[in-house]
Amino acid sequence: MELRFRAGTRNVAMTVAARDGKNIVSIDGRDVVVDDVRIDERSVTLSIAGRRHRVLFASERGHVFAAEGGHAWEFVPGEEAASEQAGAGAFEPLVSSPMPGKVLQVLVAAGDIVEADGALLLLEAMKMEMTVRATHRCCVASIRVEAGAMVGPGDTLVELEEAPTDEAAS
Amino acid sequence: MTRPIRKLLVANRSEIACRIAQTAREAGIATVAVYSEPDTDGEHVRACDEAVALGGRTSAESYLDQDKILAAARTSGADAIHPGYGFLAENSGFARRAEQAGLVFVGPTPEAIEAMGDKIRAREAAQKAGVPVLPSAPVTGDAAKDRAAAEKLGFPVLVKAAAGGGGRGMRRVDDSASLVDAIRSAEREAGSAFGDARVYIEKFVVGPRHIEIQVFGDSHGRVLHLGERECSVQRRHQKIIEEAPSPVVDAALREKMGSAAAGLAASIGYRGAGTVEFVTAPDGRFYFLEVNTRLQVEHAVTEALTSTDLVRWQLEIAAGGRLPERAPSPRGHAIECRVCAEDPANGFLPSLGLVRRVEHPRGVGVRVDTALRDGWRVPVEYDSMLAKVITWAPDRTQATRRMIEALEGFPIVGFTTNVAFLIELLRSERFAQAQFFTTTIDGEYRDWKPDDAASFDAVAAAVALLVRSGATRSSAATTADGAASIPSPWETLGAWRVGGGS
Repeated sequence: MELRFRAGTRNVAMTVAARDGKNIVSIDGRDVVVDDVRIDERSVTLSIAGRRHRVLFASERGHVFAAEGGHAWEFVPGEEAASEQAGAGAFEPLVSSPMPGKVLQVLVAAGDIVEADGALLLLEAMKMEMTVRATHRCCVASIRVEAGAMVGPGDTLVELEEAPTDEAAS
Repeated sequence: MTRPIRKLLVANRSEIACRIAQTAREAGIATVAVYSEPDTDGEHVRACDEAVALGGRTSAESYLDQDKILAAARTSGADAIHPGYGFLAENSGFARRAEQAGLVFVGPTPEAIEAMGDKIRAREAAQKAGVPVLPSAPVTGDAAKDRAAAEKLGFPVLVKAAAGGGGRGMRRVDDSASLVDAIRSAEREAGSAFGDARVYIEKFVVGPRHIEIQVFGDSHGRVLHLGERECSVQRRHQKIIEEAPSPVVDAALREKMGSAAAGLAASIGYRGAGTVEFVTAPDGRFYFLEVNTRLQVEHAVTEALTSTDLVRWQLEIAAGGRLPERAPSPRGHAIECRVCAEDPANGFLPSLGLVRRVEHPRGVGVRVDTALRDGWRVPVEYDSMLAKVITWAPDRTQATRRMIEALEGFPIVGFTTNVAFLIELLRSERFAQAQFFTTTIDGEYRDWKPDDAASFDAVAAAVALLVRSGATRSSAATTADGAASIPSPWETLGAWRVGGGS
């Protein structure tokens, strides 16, 4: 059986097999020999090439969150990751918040034409400011938040529509 | 005059509130926590004997609201307030109001806070006390005169906001041609950030290090210094690794900087804990930067080095007690790392969320001050610091190794933190050679990406094995407070198996 995940920007396909009493985990076709595996409800400990790793984990709705050696990942199950990818690259009309925080300032109004990389609004979290930008040239259809509002990651901030092309405008 | 403290209100949150509460309990002092709405379930609420809700989400509506804090002190019957760091710690108006309300303010006098809070007055006080300050010149607005003044200081220079802080309203200028533009843009930024557009020109130190001296004064006229801390590992003017002793300070320089700092503190009748910050140049010269009139985040480094509890000292001095006759001798080497909810590979932007699981480092010579626990959601309203990890060892190399081990043993499941970045800095040859300047990270680590291939293999293999073991195990993991049950992978991972069971 093949397991597919997206972890950050990586897509990974894995299979597990047993050989000579050891687990062979194939990670994107690369065999990793895993020895002395112990699993409990919080952690997995295992050895790779003589080095012991302790992976702390938690899971929710099929997502596995794990951390080891200062690194942390969220493993998104393959089907879900695939459906996200299908939408990627196409025009995305809803701009969502990349981080939890507070809306400091809305920089555009409905009807504005925004160029690719143009600033839409300012967010703040933990005393840090961040600018949310348009990925494509577009037209602002509606603003869904106001200055001072608290937003969570993924909350819709602005609705965009495709900007009229120059030909259409002329 | 002695005024015994019986009940202490801790006007702060998170790890520092927990840390203060611990010392107070040890000293037989009852503790009162205050908390905002997002902190209802905060660790500091559990750490104190009682807790008073302030209401409000933002800092302004809670930890910065003087009326609410003073009312909480009154209703809880507290006789003293410890402000921790940040929030109201350096607010002279608050210190004054607390004293007027008959409370002991655990900190300096309002006059000392005021004098050191104004950068220009503090600089004058330092000069008067014989502490070296950086050569500087006022901005006149006359381009030719300003250029001449900058040339006299010698490029590079720094254009700096008089009301500045956090790097805003600050511009490094390398030549005469770009001076006027830099002044204009610094003025604009200072005006919008501080409502005060005044800027001045200061000599820029090439290869700057941040070295600071911990001072203490009591109300009987005694002032001590407890040596230096090296805090040159910074990003965006905020420290992330601190250590003591400084690898570049020898006994003679320590004595010089220490007596300069203690002399300045004595000249203003300083009481309580304070830090005199210096910028040092590669030639060993040091220049006054500012005084922080409070306990600092990195106080634990000095505690580890001198086997002291500086919060205990603060409480005893506030109650009218005396400092010891001489400062305790330092021993070995101590390092502190600040673990922050931020992603170093994404411009140090906030990265936060639900702490799904966490385990704390342990071991000989390891201290962890934190409010992190399973199931806690990091609030967006406050500072990004999640924990401070302090290690002590007989020498710097061992303290560094101990810190790497401690950080490796600090998994935080749920979101990216700066832990991997800290580990890489500590492992670097640059750190071993003590070649970090305050400008290094913003310059050389701008495009940093984690080297996580080996760790990724281990984690990916663990995830694969977890899924495979699903048929045989089932147990529900629960968050620490029992509020939300996180289902185990054996209950939840089966549904999306690709290609059916094995």
